[in-house]
Amino acid sequence: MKNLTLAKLSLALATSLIVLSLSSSAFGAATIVIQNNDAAGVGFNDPTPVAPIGGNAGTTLGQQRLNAFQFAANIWGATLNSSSTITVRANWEALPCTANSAVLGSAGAASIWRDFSGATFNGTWYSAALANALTGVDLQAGEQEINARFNINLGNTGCGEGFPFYLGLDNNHGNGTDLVTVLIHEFSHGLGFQTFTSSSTGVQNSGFPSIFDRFLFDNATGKTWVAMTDAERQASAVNTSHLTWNGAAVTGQTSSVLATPRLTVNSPPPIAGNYVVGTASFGPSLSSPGITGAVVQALDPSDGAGSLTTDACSPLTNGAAISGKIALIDRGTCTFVTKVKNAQNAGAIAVVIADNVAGSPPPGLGGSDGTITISAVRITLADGNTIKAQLGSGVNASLLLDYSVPGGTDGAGRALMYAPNPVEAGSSVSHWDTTLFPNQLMEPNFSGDLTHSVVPIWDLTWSLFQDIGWHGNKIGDSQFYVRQHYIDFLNRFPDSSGLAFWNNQIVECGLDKPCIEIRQINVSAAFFLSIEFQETGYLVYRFYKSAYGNMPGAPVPVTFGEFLPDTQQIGQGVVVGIGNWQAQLEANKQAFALAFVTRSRFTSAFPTTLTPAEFVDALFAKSGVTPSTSERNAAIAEFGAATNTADNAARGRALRLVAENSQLKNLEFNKAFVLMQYFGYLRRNPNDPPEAGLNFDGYNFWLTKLLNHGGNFVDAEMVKSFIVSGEYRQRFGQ
Amino acid sequence: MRKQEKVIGRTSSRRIKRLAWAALVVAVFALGAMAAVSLRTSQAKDSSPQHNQTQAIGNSHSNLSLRVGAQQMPVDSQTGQIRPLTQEEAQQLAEGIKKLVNQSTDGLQSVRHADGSVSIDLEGRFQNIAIARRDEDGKLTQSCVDNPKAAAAFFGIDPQLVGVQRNATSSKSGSAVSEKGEVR
Repeated sequence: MKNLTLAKLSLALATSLIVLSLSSSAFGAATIVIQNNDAAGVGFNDPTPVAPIGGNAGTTLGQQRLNAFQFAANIWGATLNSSSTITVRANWEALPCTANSAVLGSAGAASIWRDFSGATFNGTWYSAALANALTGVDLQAGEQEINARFNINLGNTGCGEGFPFYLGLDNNHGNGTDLVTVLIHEFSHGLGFQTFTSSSTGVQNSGFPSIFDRFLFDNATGKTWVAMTDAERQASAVNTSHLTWNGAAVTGQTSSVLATPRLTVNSPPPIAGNYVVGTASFGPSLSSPGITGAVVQALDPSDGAGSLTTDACSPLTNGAAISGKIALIDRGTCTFVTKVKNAQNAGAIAVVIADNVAGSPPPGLGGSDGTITISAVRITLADGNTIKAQLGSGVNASLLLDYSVPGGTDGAGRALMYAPNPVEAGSSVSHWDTTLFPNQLMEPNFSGDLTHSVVPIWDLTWSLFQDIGWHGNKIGDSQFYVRQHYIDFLNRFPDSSGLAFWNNQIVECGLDKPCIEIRQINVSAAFFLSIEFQETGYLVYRFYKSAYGNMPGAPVPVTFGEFLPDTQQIGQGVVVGIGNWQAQLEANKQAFALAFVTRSRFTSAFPTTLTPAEFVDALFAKSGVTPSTSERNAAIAEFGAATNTADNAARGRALRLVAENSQLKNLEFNKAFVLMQYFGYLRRNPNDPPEAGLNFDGYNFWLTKLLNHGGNFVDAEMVKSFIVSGEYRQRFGQ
Repeated sequence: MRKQEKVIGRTSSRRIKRLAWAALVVAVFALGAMAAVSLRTSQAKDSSPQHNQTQAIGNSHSNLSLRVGAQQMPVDSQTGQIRPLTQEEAQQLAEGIKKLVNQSTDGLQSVRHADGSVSIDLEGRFQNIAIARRDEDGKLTQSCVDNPKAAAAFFGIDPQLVGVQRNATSSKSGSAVSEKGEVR
């Protein structure tokens, strides 16, 4: 739905910057400041001129470094609550490195606190930032809560020569080291994602456990770390696949965040079932319910690029057969991205690469190509042969993430912590286990496919912070914010390209707060203004308006309880811009109109004894529209020569003509816009609790204000008021 | 980077590494040869970087750097291979790591405040460090560690150099690292 309203939004943006530049961040819940601890001319103060990159508008190396730090800090600042400013004292200095090995940086809590007012457990260490948030004051005013120092020489001769930091803010790091990702990870440790108990000895810091320890649960012994002896903790730290996190917030989200990637063959029956896959480092990630289609063998010439006619190393020769299907390709000779790109160019919707050597499980598909837009997986040689043997019978399959099997959890749904044995083979218990899937921010490795989102459904870090005592709100995460709009307004999960597009509308503002705020507003409004909503939700509104007018004693024609299921019905399977959405929408409209006119409420209001003219006139009267002669006649003509309106199909068509009348669209637009603020954001009727007075005063206020501003939702501050309202925010946190 | 790529390092890693190693030996020798050619002719050629070509961009007594695509990789000028750490480099890394990753509570002071709360200034200890290395095959691996053993294992250096006793075989390719999967 990204093609719709950019022109409108640009106009709105231009007219509203001044108004909103005076306001504070719409979602800011904690202020995290970067305290520049560098000397003049170095680190954050390095004056070396650089070109802006990836949303980082800095024009000196030092400024870009500082921007990246602040951007990472803001990600947590937008999703965690604290009335006390969190200070990160940071600097750049020479850290250990060689040409091929380097310390990128370090970070962690500056101090730890116990037995303060507001602590959720006595006798328990908390990081300074969390202690301040819980107690509500800065326990040690003037001191930093987090320390951070990063390698000033990285990328220079003799120091990590091949991997300088990527300083862009857009996560478009390619094969480089995304500084923002590293910073979000390391700041997380400083905010509390760490134990201060020694995992190598089991000894607690000064005899007291860390808040983190209260949720480290060994499912083999049935004990948390606070209930263990030093020796038991020492053993638990290397109890691989048994050390878990038993916090309720994390466990409650594992089934929505973690999954298992699969190839599910739907038919023919002899080979139907789930197949283990290796996922690709390029192209879109798998999703749920995923991609379903016929599986077709890709064919290409036997040539210098690849001797097999099934290796897809050259442009495919059976493009017509592949288009719209899942391409099956043999591994070998050329790169995976070459194969997938050739299949994509032929119109394939996904790719399955069959291994050319025996072995299981199938490894992943390496490589990088930003132009690949279809998903790909690898299956074993044996599974490939099984599928190939049935291609003649017609194979239908799905590539998907199976959330019924959360990857990296124990039988009780608890996420596994990293407890390698021996301990020196990896990191510490202050990370998730590496078996979690999809990759998580707080695994010990920095995976290239991590997003900058820290909340479910992408990541469990925010949930862990909830467990240890942080309060916060997921809506501060821009990707979550956009996704929620798809759910609230379009009644579906986002398509990957749409999510990326709208998220980028916000993220590309970088650190520009006024820009972020206006983009949040405009992105939000875009969902009401979208073709998809106008043709589904707003059409439902107009069906009710045309059939019944406004409800008795109310300025609106439809309740939320009526609106929601009808909108879901009319939007079923419709994703504007994807597939033959127009045909699907038309079919949905026809089915909905027919169903609508056969409901008892409608048949009671419009008996079949009415003549076509009486029926049509009644509808236009309810709608408040005075039709032109041609409009009226067109609706009446749906009944042909009939003298009554017993023809339900004709009733449906006539009703639809009225509901889709252009005058009605314009007449009700602002009224519907206001009503959808309540339906979309607050999920209630305007006169439902907690509305003061349980009346339409609030609705009328906003409608009046919107009309007074000529329908300009930005000037009226209508959308902004709803998205920053406590009632809206409380849907997603505190 | 997706999960299955990590599986490579844990499951079929030996087989894959053998295959990858064979390919790399060929590739690295080719790179070395091209670098040598480049070095010999550098005075007569435009030295501007060219993507997707291998090009020498530096030189020293025993090492040089290659640009492969957009990335630079230090290699041994004699063998053309991305070389392991020298003893001197390992020592240098270890010394730095020891200072960065310190989980000792020795000398840390608990302070009791008037409101009954107690704090400890960690004095820079209990920090987590992000580390990275370029493997022999050119792949970049990155990880986060909080103890000297883990750091030593990651870099493949003797744990005794970072002040811990060697009590188990350390593995340079620990499962904690992220690896770029095979690309073909």
